[in-house]
Amino acid sequence: MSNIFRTYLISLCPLIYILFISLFSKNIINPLSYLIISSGHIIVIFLILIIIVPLLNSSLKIIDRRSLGLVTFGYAVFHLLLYMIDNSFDFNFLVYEILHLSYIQIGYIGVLLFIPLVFTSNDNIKKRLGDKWAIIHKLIYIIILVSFIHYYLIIKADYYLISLYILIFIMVFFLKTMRHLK
Amino acid sequence: MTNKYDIDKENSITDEFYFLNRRKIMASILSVPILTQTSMVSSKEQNLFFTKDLDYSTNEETNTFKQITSYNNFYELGTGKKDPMLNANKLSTKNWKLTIDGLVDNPIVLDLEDLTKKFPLEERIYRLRCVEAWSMVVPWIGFELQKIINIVKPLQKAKYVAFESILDPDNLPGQKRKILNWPYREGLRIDEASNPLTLLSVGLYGKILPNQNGSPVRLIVPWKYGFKSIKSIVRISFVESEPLCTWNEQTPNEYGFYSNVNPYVNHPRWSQKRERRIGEFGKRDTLMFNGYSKFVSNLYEGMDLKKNF
Repeated sequence: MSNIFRTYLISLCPLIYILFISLFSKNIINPLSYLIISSGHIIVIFLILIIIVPLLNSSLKIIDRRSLGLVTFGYAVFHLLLYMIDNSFDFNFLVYEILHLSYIQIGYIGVLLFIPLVFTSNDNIKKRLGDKWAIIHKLIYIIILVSFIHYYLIIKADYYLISLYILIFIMVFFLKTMRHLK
Repeated sequence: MTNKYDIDKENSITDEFYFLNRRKIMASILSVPILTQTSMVSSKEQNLFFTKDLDYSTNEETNTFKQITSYNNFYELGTGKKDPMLNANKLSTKNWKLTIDGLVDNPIVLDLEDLTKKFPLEERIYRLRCVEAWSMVVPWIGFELQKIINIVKPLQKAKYVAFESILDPDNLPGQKRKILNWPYREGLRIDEASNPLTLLSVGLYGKILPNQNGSPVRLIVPWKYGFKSIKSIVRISFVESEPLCTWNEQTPNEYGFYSNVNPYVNHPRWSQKRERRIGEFGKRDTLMFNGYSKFVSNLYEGMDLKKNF
């Protein structure tokens, strides 16, 4: 099995799981809200995984980083689509939220920042861009920070899980910088 | 000679009662050991005696028992929506005492039996609007807080009512971390507390209140966001100045003392214009005072509700 196929297969499992739960679990009382929240968590976890992959030994590199990035973008679009469905695609209301609510603005920014990465994720363009490609793809760090802010802005009181995500992110970032300096 | 197939003779027929209830009877025999271990669960099944209120109740379709008991904000039992249901048994209501004191002539302490027997109970079907922009319609069983006010007789000086919830960090999983400044506290102005809509609820769907909904006694103020309706109350005190409210203390610019449902004042981070009625697909417009204007708008005459949010 190729790494690409394996990556798509594994990374789509959470989607199937949350769709299944939201449709069939009798304990999910507000399925749309459940889907929005759980897809958000999947996105944050995948974003962190994307920066962890290069740290793994080559024998552990069973995940194709590019595919994981594309799937994560897919989840982000899904997350945005769910939010729009949640508001019945009411154009005026969606515009009102963009104009007035910062967590919504930041959410859109996150999706937009992803777009240059998606369009430069093929071998031809990568070759053509040369050194610039690596610089563009540093955007992933900005996207991670943006997603943390977006998440932080809707928490009412319980910062436990977001602290855990941020802690892992800092550890990975630290490890990567250490490797770079060697 | 008797016909061995003649089994329909009168005396061999199983009594209809036992026949119709055969599954229940088997189940009850099998469940005896379980029920004796968790006698609390069975006592919660107890039916309450109540009258149906027609003056204040909505005739909207009520949410199901399952919905009302599986989607709760009760941080003492965990911050996930399902957590209060999953951890419900961590809250022990045994030997519960509700103390009513402060600036009153006649302080009292109510025990579990008083809560369901001392005052005639009525069913009030109210809308509940959470600050998180979802809502339900709930058939509460309870009595007006006014009834308690009449008994304890607040002094002239008493201007506010302070409510305090249970503090039990040894058993309540949410209180093991300082998510909020425990115990949970809430407050009302005394005229708000005396409004006929303001309820102390002890039941739901005709039965004792499930733990995840704030057993054994909780406040219901249907024109305010749900967090004002404090659960599992241990103390009600009549005081002179505005009491501390937990969410107001946590984030004062987001959760005001009044916290009246108001579609024209957004939460600083999200919109309050609409709400999802649990069980419905689209969202509906949120109503001023959650649709209770005709009962409560006089309480706020002349007040700037944007400032006093």
